[in-house]
Amino acid sequence: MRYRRGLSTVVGAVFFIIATTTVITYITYSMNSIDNFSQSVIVSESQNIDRGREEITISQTTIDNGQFNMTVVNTGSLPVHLTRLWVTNQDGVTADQKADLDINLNPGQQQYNIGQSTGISAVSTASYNLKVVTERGNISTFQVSPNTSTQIQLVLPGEVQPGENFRVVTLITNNSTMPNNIVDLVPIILNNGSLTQIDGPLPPSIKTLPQGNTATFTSTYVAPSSSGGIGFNATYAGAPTGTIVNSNMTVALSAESEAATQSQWSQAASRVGILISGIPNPVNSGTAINYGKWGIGIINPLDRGVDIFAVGILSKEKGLIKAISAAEPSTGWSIRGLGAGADLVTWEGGATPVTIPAKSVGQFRVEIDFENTSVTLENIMTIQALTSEGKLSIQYNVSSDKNHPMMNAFYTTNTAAATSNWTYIYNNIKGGTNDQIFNATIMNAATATGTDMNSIVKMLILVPSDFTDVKDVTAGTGGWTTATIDSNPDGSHVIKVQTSASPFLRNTHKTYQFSADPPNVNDDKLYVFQTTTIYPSFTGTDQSELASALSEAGVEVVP
Amino acid sequence: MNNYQLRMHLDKKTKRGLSSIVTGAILLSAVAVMGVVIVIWANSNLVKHQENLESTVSDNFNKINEKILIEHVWFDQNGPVINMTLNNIGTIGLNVTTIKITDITSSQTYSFTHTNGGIVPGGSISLTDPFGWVANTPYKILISSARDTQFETQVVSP
Repeated sequence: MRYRRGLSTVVGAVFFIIATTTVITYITYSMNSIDNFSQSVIVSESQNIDRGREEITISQTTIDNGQFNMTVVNTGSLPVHLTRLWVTNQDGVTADQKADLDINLNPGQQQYNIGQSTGISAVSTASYNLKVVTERGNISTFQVSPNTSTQIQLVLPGEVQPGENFRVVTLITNNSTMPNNIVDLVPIILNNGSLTQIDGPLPPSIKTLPQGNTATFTSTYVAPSSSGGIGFNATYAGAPTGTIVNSNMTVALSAESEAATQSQWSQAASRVGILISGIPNPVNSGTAINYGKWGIGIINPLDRGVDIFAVGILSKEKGLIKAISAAEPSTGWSIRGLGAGADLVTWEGGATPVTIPAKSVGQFRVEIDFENTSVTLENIMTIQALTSEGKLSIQYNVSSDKNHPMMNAFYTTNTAAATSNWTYIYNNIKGGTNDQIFNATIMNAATATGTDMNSIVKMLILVPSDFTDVKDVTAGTGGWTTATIDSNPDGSHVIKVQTSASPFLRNTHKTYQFSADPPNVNDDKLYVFQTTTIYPSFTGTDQSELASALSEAGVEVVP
Repeated sequence: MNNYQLRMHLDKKTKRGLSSIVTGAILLSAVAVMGVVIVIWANSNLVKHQENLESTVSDNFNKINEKILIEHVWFDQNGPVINMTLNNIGTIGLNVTTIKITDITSSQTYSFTHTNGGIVPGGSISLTDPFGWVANTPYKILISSARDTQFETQVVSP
């Protein structure tokens, strides 16, 4: 019994040991597996944490040499390895492009020139999405696009004077809510006026306009010579449709400026008047016959004709006027001695007055020879006209001497034979004609006993404000220098030109040509081209530079 | 006690000892058999559990270490095609088997199967699927690996 009892115990013990070993093995294996799994979870979680701590920012993007140039900053707390750049062109046509990167960035470090030498081309007017991928699986995106939310402001002066310089300031703000750069931003500033742009926009463009930033561009213009409104608009290359701002300003004369610059003939003629169509000055009064060309113009802006009964040129000096040669009308002219006090060159219509039709100009032309005098005379000449609208009178001082030259100013209809086709009126000029030519002539009519003009001679022509696009046609030829054409605040122009060589020989003439665009008119409109000569060296004993041949040419513009 | 009685007593004593032995042997055998069966059953049960545990741990271990970055998705402008580049940012290789694209607007789902979607750790793969995408539509993309790990992203077509 004792032996049997011991055997069962052994068997039981064996079973116990087997069972215990199996259970312990299983439990140990389970614990190991769970431990391994836990380690795996810990490692995975560590990677996730690292990914979360990794942070990069594309801080700047430009386009250089036709490729992107990005600056990427490692703003996280772990080193970063950049592995890929993706570029998506938003044009809906171009395929997405990618480039492999191999760039390591320590925390706080930034890398420039990313995107250069990748072969991915870029233009500033297109829109791109950029994406940089890290090895841990983070992605940073950026946009380069002008087609984004922007605010454009246009700052103009409310009112400027004609001819005044003024500045236009354009402000463009990148209002994008996403990280976005507008690169190579070129402003486009347009206006509906004929403005001369002095400079600008300055700067012409900017390399990059980051999100939230504002760029300022300044342009400088010269206001036009005539009053009116000017509209400006501003946008930029590649801007979204409708991203444009409009603003208006006014060009206007101040009352003082207008009063100071307006001359009698700078605007259209508005009342019946007498014109000093042509007065020679200085006048040669030598023994030989020296005819000076004289003209009396009558301007009639009325809707009815004006009858001219008589015209006259009165000399206070008795016996000064020696001879005349009638030109227009060809008859009716005479020299009338008026007692001991004066001589008068007169045309008298008698029963058949000359009628100046409504809205037109007429002229009376006569050539006058002065008597040889032993002294220099400063003679006040009075030009008169008796018309159906009343008597008109105007005075002008003429210097005469036997040693003076004989300076005339007139216009001509034939430049090849200017002296025989002299006139003081241009009738029936078609309104709106481009580059209408006008021929202003200066003549030294002194003959054998007269003198040359020993210096250059200047000529000033006032072109009324309604005439535009005034041009120097002669342009430095024909004995003239290149003209200077100045704009007046009221819109009129002054042509300043002078002979290119001296002396201005006696019995010679020079014709200067200029052009202008007459205005479009609904009805006949009358203007006067005031033409003044200056002989600078006519100074010293018995001479004064004030002596100036004058011509006031009447111009009729028709529809 | 006479001889007869003595002989009977001795016979009786001898028979009782044999049966005990037989009985004991039978019981011992039965216990041994039962013990062996129980031990074998328990062991096999534990082995089975161990295998299950091993499989479960292995699967979960792999799943935890299986990570895909859907790096870039773009729609082909010249045809009904969608492209995507996937990065294996995990620590083990994986095999992309299925891509499901769901139109978020209409809830319509398109499924694409891939047999060559293996990616080594740190590697990437570009996959192209014929897909009639509609402009300016949001899509959900669900990528499944051979271990049935799923990765999801959303994109909007241009």
